[in-house]
Amino acid sequence: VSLLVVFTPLLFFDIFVSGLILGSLYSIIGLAMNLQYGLLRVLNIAHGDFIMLAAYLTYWLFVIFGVSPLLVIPITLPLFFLIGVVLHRLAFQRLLTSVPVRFFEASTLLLTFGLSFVIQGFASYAWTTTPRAFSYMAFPVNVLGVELSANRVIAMLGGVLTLSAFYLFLYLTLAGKAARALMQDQIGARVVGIKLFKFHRYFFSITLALTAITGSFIAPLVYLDPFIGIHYTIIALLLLILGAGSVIGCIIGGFIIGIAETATMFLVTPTFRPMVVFIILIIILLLRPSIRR
Amino acid sequence: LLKIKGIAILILLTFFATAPMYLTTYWISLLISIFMYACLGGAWNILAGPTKYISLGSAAFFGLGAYLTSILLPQFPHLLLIGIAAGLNFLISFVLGFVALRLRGIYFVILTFALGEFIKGLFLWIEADIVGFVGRYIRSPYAGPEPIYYLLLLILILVISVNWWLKNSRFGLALLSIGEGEEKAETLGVNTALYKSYAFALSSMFIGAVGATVIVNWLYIHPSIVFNPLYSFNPAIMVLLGGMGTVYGPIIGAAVLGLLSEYLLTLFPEYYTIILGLSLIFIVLFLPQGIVGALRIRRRR
Repeated sequence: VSLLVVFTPLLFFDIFVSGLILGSLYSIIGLAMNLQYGLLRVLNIAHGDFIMLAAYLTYWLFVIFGVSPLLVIPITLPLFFLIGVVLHRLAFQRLLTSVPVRFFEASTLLLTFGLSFVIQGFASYAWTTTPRAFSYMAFPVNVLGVELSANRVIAMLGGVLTLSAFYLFLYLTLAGKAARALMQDQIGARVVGIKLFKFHRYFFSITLALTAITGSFIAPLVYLDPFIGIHYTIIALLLLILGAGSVIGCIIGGFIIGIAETATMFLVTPTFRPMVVFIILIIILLLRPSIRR
Repeated sequence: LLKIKGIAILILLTFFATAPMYLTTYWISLLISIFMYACLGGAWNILAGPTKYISLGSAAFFGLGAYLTSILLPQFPHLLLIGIAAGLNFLISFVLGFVALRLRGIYFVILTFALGEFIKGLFLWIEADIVGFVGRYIRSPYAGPEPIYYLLLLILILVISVNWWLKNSRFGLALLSIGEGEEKAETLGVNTALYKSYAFALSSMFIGAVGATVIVNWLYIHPSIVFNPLYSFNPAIMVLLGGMGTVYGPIIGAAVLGLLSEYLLTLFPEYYTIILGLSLIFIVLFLPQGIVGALRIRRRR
């Protein structure tokens, strides 16, 4: 996955700003993953594939019907929410009731691996494996002295907007507070009277809706092929570990990865870029003592 | 019953040992791919079966074995290279095991998966930026696929024997106790770190040997081919389908999924991944104990 825009002056400020753009999208990805795992104990390996699917839908609607990627979101958002409800009813609810609690996480992992294959297979079939890209609002704009293409600025604004909306939802509404309580201490929260099962379905669908938003913002920025999802899944997993159930930790982690990736791309070599996430992930897994269990 | 089992195994062995004499090349190559997955699955089962540590990094060891062979093949005999690949993988994963196996549950899964992808990226980067070319051609030292077939059959027999030995030895029981409850096993005096590392090393040793063996048959090597995450997932899926922690589960799973994939790939190549994914979803939802487990439950009733 290489970004279409190449900057002319190699400035640290450039790296910082474009890292922030990537980071804002990564934060949403990570937040959705943190909710899925922290709240629902679902380890969704197909997370990135849903982003890929949303990006392809955006591409498709834009190229065929000329729908602006921003107007695609009102279409994909409810669609993905619906997919979430159906998926939860057909698969995860069955797991919740039939599988012993200590095998639930591993089962969801395998189930979503299968889901990931299905989505990738579907995308390969529907859109072929030829990499695709489209140009949408690629003209340059000047932000704080840095030349950026307009679609990246929009992605950044959209990312920050989504993040803040979701943040406010988590901290100001009763449902959001219940969700955070469940993330921090599931048993404690249930003792206080928060109904886990009611939340399970709706939050699963909400996290899928978040991937729809991310996919639409990412679509104009990358070369699309059916296998880009794995990169976003890895970033989501990394943020799951970095964030460890904290919303702020996850957002900050997203920005750190965004900047680290951009920095490697500019300062080392683009072929090394996919490795950065793995190196950070491996180091953190091995060094953080609190997650060894 | 033991006698019937012994005779059945003997018949199967003579059949497979003489198979290249009367089966066509198509069937031999199909058997090679089934044997390969049965070996990989059985090797994966050495760690995952008793201890429940699910590794998704098999591709790393598979690819390491394959790469070592492809680079050194012109200078050294193939058999020696298989041995070196096995030994090297054993050493690497024995050391790695002490660090990696401290992580439990999903964190171990994520770590092994990340390691696999990291090594794939590392090889792609080394080949592209340092060596200067990506992918190599390989000249097979053999005239036909038969030597590969026999080598895989031999490895498969070894893997099955190790899995059987795990069912009937102190070592296997120690591993099983780790899977049942690691703290309890430790309290009872099991050196869990050492045992887990041994199992991990044994498992990777066979995976590396399989990689070193089959690559000669493929004639071309590329990091995206040999480090393909499918070599991590497929063995795991096959073992889960067959039955985790059983001796014959990996073989049954490899045979069923291997034949199914062959059938699907020839008839509907474009739906292959979709059906593979659906079958995995089906296994998780309806066959959580695998085929062998389901049969056992039925027999008990």
